[in-house]
Amino acid sequence: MMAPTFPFSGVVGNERVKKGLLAALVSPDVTGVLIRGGPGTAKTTLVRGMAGLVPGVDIVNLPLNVTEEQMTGSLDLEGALTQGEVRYLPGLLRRAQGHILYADEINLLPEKMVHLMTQSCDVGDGPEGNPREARSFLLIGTMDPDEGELSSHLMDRFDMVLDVTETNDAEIRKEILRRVLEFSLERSVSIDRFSSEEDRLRQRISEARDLLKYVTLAPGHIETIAQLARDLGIEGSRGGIAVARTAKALAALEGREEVILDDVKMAATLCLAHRRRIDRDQGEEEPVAEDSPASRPVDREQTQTTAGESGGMEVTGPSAPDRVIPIGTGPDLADIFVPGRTTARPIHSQEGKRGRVISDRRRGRYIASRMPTGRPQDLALDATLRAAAPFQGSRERGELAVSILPSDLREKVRMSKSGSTIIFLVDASGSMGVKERMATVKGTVLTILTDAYRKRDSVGLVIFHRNTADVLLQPTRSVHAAYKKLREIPTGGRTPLALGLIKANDLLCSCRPLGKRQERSLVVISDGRANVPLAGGDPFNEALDIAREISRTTVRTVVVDTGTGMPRIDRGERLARALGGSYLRLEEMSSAQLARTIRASAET
Amino acid sequence: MERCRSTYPFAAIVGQEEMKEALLLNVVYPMIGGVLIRGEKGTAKSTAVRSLAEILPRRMVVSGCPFRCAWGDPDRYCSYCQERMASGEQLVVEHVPMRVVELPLNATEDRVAGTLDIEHAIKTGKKRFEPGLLAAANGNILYVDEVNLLDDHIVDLLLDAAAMGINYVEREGVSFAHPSRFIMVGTMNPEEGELRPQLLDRFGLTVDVSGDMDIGKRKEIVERRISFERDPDRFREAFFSEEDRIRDDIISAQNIMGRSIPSDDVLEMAVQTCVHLGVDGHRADLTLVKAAMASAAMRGRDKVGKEDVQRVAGMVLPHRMRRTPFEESDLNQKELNAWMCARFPS
Repeated sequence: MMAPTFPFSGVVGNERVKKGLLAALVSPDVTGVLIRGGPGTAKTTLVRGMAGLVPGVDIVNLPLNVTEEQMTGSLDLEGALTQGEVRYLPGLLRRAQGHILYADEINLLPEKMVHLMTQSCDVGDGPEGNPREARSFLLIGTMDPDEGELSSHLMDRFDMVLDVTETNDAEIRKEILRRVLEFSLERSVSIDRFSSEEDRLRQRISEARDLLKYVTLAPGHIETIAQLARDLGIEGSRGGIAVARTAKALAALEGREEVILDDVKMAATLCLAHRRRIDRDQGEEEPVAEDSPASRPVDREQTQTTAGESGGMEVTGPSAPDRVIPIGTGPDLADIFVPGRTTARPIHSQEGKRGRVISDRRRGRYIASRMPTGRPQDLALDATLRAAAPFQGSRERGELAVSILPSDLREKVRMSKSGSTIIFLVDASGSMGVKERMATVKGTVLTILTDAYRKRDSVGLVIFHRNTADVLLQPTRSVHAAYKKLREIPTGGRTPLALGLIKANDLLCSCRPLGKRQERSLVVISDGRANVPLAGGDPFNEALDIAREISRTTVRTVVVDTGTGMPRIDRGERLARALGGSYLRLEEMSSAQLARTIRASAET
Repeated sequence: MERCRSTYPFAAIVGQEEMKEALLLNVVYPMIGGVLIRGEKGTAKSTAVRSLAEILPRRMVVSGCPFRCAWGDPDRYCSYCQERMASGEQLVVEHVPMRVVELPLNATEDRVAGTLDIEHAIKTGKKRFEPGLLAAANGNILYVDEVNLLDDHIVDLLLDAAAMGINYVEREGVSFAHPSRFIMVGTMNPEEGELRPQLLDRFGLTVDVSGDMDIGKRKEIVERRISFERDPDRFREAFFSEEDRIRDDIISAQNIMGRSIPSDDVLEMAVQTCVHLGVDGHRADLTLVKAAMASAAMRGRDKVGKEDVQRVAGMVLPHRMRRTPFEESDLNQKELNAWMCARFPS
C-alpha cells in the first residue's frame, strides 16, 4: 500500500536539497543520497514526493524492523513446504532494483545493514554505452543527527549528503502551514494545485535524463574538482567522482549540454561537505562550517557561491568562520557556566566504538539468525522452518505438516543499544570552592548528561569532602533529577579521596551491567591533595592503593586534575597512573571540551 | 454501548481539566498526534486514559477489513481493501467503537510490528501475516504506560509507523504493509528518566499533572474512589448521562471539525508564537493550529479564534522548547498568555 503523498513541488524552501534529489533522479550514476535534519523538517515528505517523478520508479521502504534475511533474500518457505521446491525469495535489495530504496532513520539501523545497502546499490560502472545499468537502485536514507551519527566510512558511501534546514521567516512558515493544512483537510484541492507544476517537473526530469549522455565535462572543470577535493582534504576518489556525476546531472536539469562552473560549485556543496575531514572536536558543533584553513579559494569568481542557501558548505570564501549550529542542538551548556573559555589544545578522539552490541539476553532487535552452539536459547522459528523446508520431501513426517530435526534449529541474533554508566567522583573539598572550578565541573557533568539522551548512558554522582563520601545521584538518565542535585553541591572541608574512591567503586559495582560489554567509567575530578586518612596511613598513598584495586576491574577511568598554578604537584598524574586511566587538566579546557574528552577516553 | 465493568468513569475524575481536555482534543482530531501525560504516581494518569475507552464514539470502518481501515479514504485503504475494490466488490461501512489498545512495556518486536503466523505456516505450509499491536491500534488509541521506560527498538517501531501512518513489516520472511494511524497516548513519571527527543517530538500535546490540590477536592477524590470500589456498577450508573453527554460533544465536534483552513490571523499567531519562543520545527506550528481547531470544535465553533490558539499553546509548546532544557519551568504559562494578549489583541 502507498499513502497519498504531498507533491514534491509543494515543499517550500530547501532548494538545495531538492536540487540534489532531482539530480539523483536524473543521473543513474548517483547511487546514494543521505538527508539529514531534525524532526518535522520535511525529510520524509521530500523523499515520498519523489515517487512517480520518473515513470515506473517507486519507493521501496526499508523499515527499521527489517531482518538480514529479509534484506538479502532467503528460501521461499511456502514453495518449499507446499511443493517441496527450493526457490529463492528475493529480498528487499532485489525488489528495490530500478526503484528508490528508502531507509528512514537509517542511523538507527545496524551498521552492517547500512553497509550492505550501500554496497548493493553501487554495482560499479555499468557496461560502456549503457550507463543506465550503473546503479541497481537509488538508496535514500534520512536521519536526525540528534539520534546518533553514521560512521564516516558509511557517510562516504553516499554520493550526496543533504542537510535540510528550517526557517524562522514567519511568512514562509505560514505558507508551509497553509499548504500542509490544505493537504490534510482538502487533499484533492491541494494535489490539483500542484499538478501542473508536478507535470512540468516530470517533463524536465525526463528531458534531462535523455540529455545526460550528451553532457560533457570540460577538462578544466575536472581539474577544478580534483583541486577542490585535495584542498578540502578529502580522501579517496569517491568525492570527486560524485561531484563530476552530480554536476553533469545538474547541467542536464538546466537543459545544458555543457557543465558550467556553477554546476560544479553546486555539486561540490552537495557531495563534498560530508567528506571533509573535520577534527572531531569541532565537528560536533560545526559540522559544515567553513573553518578549515586548508580550503583556499579555487576560483576567484566563486565567492558568491551559495550565498542565500543556508546550512551549506561554502566552497570558497575568505576564512570568516561561520558558526553553523545544526538543528536541534541546544546551547553549549558549558557556556552557561563558564563563558568565554577558548580552545586550549586540539582533541583527537575516535568514533565511539560502543553503542551497538550483540545482545546476549533475549532483548533487542532481531536482526539475523544463526546455528546455535548448544541448546538454542532464543529460537528463530522462521529461520528454523526455512532450514527444515527443503528436506520435507525426504523426511518421515507422520501426522506432522513439517518435520523438524535438531539440526534445523536456528536461534535469533539480537542487537541492542547499550549505554554505559559513567560515575563522577567529585572533590567537593574547600579547594574546589573556587567558584569557576566547580562551575566547569558542573558544566561538564551536565554536557555529558545531555548527551545521555542519545547515547543511552546513565550518569551517577559521588562527592567527597569533610570526612565523608556521599552518593549524591544514583546512576540516572533523568536530566531533571541530575540538574537539581548538581546545582546544590556543597563545597568545603577536607579531602577524603580514598573514601571517595571506595564509594564510587561500590556504586559502579552495584550497577549491574546489562550486557557483557556494557561499559562502566569512573571520572575522578580532584586535585589529588588527599588529607583525610582512611586507616591511619598516608592519605594519598591509601588512595593510590585503592586506585590500583580499581585498575584491576574493567572500569575505564579518567582523572581530571583541578590543581592549578605553580609549582604543579603531580598527584593527579600519579592517581591516573594508579588507576590505569587517562589524565586531563581542568585549567586547560572548557567544560564542553572536557565533556568530549572524557567521553572519548571512556570509549576507547 | 458496551460498558466495561471495572473501569472508573471518565466523568468522575475530579479536576485534571487540562489532561482531560488534551485527551478529548485528540479524540476529536486524531491528527493532533497524541498526548504525553507527565506526572508523579497516583495522579490519575492511567485511570484517565483507560476510562477514555468508555466515552469514545463509534467510528466508520470498512466492513470485514482486518485492519479496520477508516471509511471514505480509498487512497489510504490497506492492500486487502484495495484488492477488494479492484475486483469490483462494493465495500460496506461498519460502525465500530474506538478502542484503547495498550502496549505493554515487555511487548516484543514481533508482537508490536506483527510477524509470520508460525502456526499457520506449520499447519498449512503457507505464509500469512499475523498482525501485531500496530495493526490493532489503527484508528484507535495506542496507550503506553511508562513510555519513557520502553525499549529503544520498540520506540523505533512506533516512530517508524507514526511517521507515515503505515506499518511496513520486513521480517521473518514476511513482507507486508498496512495502515497504522493511531493516537499515541503515553504516561510517564519524569523522575524515572527522560524520553528520547524524537519520541517526545512525536507527541502532539503534553500535559503535566500534579497531585496537589485543595483539601475539598482531595476529599472528593477519596470519597468517589471509595464508593466506586464499594459498588462499581452503581457508581458508574450515576455517571452514565454525563458520559453520554461528553460523547455527544465529541461527535458534534468531529462533525464540524476541519471544514475550512483557519484564517490568516490564526496562522500568523501560531507561527509568531513559535518563532517568539524559539520553537524549532514546523510540526509545532502545525500542531498548534490543529489543536486550536479541535479546541474550537469542542466548543461548538467551526471558526478558530485567537483565544483557541491561546488556550492550547500551553499543551503544544512546552516540550518543544528544547533550547532551555534545564530551566525549572520550561514555559511560563502566564508570561506566554500575557505576551499573546499583547501581541495579538482580539
